[in-house]
Amino acid sequence: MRITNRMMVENAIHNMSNNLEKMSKLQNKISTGKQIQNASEDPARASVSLSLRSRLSTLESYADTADITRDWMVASDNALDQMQDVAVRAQNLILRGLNDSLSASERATTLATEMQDLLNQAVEVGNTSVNNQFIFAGYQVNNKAFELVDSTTTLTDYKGTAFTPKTVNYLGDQGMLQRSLGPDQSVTLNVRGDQALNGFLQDLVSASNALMQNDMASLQTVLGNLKSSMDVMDQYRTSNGARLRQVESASNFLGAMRTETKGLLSKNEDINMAEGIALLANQETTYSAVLEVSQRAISALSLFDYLK
Amino acid sequence: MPTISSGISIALQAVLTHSQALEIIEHNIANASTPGYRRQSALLTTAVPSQIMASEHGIGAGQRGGGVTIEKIQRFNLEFFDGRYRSVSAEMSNWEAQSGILSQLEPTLAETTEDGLLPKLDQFWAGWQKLSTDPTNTSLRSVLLDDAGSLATALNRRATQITQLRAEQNNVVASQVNDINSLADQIAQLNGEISRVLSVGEQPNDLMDKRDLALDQLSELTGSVSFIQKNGEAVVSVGGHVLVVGHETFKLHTQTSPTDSSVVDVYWSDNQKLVPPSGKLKGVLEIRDKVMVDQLTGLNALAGGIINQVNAIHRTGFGLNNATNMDFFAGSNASDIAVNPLLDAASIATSSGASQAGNSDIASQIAGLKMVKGMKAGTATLNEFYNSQITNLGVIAQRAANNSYQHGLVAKALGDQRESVSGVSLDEEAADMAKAQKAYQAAARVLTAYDELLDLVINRMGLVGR
Repeated sequence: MRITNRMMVENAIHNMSNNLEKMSKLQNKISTGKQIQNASEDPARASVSLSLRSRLSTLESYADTADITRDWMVASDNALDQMQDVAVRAQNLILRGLNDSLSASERATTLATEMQDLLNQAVEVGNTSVNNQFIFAGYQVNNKAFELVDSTTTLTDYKGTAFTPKTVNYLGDQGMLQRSLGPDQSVTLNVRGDQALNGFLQDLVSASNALMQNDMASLQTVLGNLKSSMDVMDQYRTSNGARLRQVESASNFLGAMRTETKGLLSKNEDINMAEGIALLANQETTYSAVLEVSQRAISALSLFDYLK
Repeated sequence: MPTISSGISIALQAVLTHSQALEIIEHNIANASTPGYRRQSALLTTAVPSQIMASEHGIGAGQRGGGVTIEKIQRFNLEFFDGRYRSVSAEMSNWEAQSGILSQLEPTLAETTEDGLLPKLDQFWAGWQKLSTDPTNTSLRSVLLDDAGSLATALNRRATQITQLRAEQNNVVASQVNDINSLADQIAQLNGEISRVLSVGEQPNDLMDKRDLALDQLSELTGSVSFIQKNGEAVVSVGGHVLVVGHETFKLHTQTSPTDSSVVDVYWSDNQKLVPPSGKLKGVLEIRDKVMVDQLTGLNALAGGIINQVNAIHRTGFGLNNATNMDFFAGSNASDIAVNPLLDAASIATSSGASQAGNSDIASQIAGLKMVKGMKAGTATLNEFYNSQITNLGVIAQRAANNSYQHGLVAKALGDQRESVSGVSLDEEAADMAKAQKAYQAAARVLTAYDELLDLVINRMGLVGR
């Protein structure tokens, strides 16, 4: 082939710009740490990256949900635990009240007052809130679950004087809060106060009234009711615990998935630094060779230099 | 009979011929890097021999030569290479133009970075998911409104950018049409001059170079094809319609498209629509009328999907203030999507029943939309739909870049072949120059010999015995 000076110069320019382009791509990869800057560089890889990142965001938001759900359920468990303590103390108090050696006035003063304290305490526990949300109130998380008010009717105590007994009202509703821990996995978050606690609170009211009235028969009935109320409470606590374990296992699963997805994402789009830098060094060597050759092509020897 | 004066005229002819050959070499060297220049060379031939038969006069044998002359100034060009080179370089320009516009479009969408639309969409779903775990939290509600707002803005921005970039192509098309018209004029004018020069038997080499350069540029723009007639005039046509014939041209003009008022189409003067077979113009029109339209349609479908799916669920829910039957998004496509201006943090519907603050069924359902295959006839989620849209654009951009690179390589190889025939090699010219110079010197020496002969005849003959 006949070679002209213009071909040599143009070839040199072509080679230099090709090499520069390769070098700039490698430099871009290394400085961003990413395999691709635009989808067009590797559409399949870009697509995988985008869906992995989307999946990661899903996993992260489910993991957040699982964390908050767990906080709430642990709070429920603690509240039920405290409630059970109160119940045991109430049970002991009633047993002491049933003791024949106690006088009616002792029942109506010491024991009834103590029972009142326990009632107050129990209502307070029933109004436990997490993050300003009342956990036993069903959907009505903005309102207290229970209120302790004076009854509209009066009763008479053992001396025949009238007194106003307390009433406990459940202010919540029948809402069961559902939280999703995955696309098709949801868990019931709350323990409803009307189901788990209301019976027990009513028992405390009855016990307190029976003590005031020195009504041993009622006290005996209350003791029986209290036992079954405690069973109910225990039952709800157990079911809450079972669901808590479900949340925890979901949370662990989400954590593991998140780590795995992050790994896949990194494998898909991050560059291997050592490899990248080695490639760049190689490209630089090539480029300096191209420059050397081009320099000769452009300032090539010419016959004009030798003709006299 | 040979005479001294015929000898002098042969020597003079040789001196003049070789000095003219030197001039041609000089012209080559001067134009060594002129675009479109084809090297020329003096085709030397023997002059017409003396008609007088030597044998008739009895002074030796043979027809005596009449010296040297330039038969023609040859132009090194292969028309076959021109045609092939032009068709490949038109294809290369087509893909180059596509790749150029796409490489403007892709980074403005920035889909593979954190500023992409998908991260914004993910953030929006995550906002709902968070709100579903804590529906009474007003700060989460405000965050969700912000996230939704930035999703809507991101969609608006993309729609605006694609529309703008699309409108900018109108200017590109208009300026290319101007270039085509002026090249056509140039070719028509050169046609006239070339045929005139050829008709008197001369070689219009430099005019032909100019016309070939114009034909190169024209086919890069439009993928035009040309044919050289017997009289030396070029006939040029684009997509089956004649652009230049003889010194007549058929002009192009731009006009608002009847189907889409935001773009211009190109028409011939007889109001036929121009459909360029290749070249830059084809690339620009292809991207403007297919790729960008597809992207915009997809973006609108995505925005429409988000608006409809979210609103449908949102309307059935209740806010903290028991607001119900409210739209979450206003608008209907990517350019007008916005968060419903009447919606405040408390009105965001999370609950499936009135006055149930802790109920977050609606929020969960909307967060779950991320997983719902509601696009492409129920085969793709919103995220998957947009993912495939981005990937599609990536594939198109990659194809354009690859094609432009590959056609570039072929065009370079063909250009090299053409250059190999018609380019100026300085070494060759140096050698030719030395040759012409030596021939000139030798001819001049012959002249000196005749000078001495004449000196002998005039000054020294007939002086015997003086």
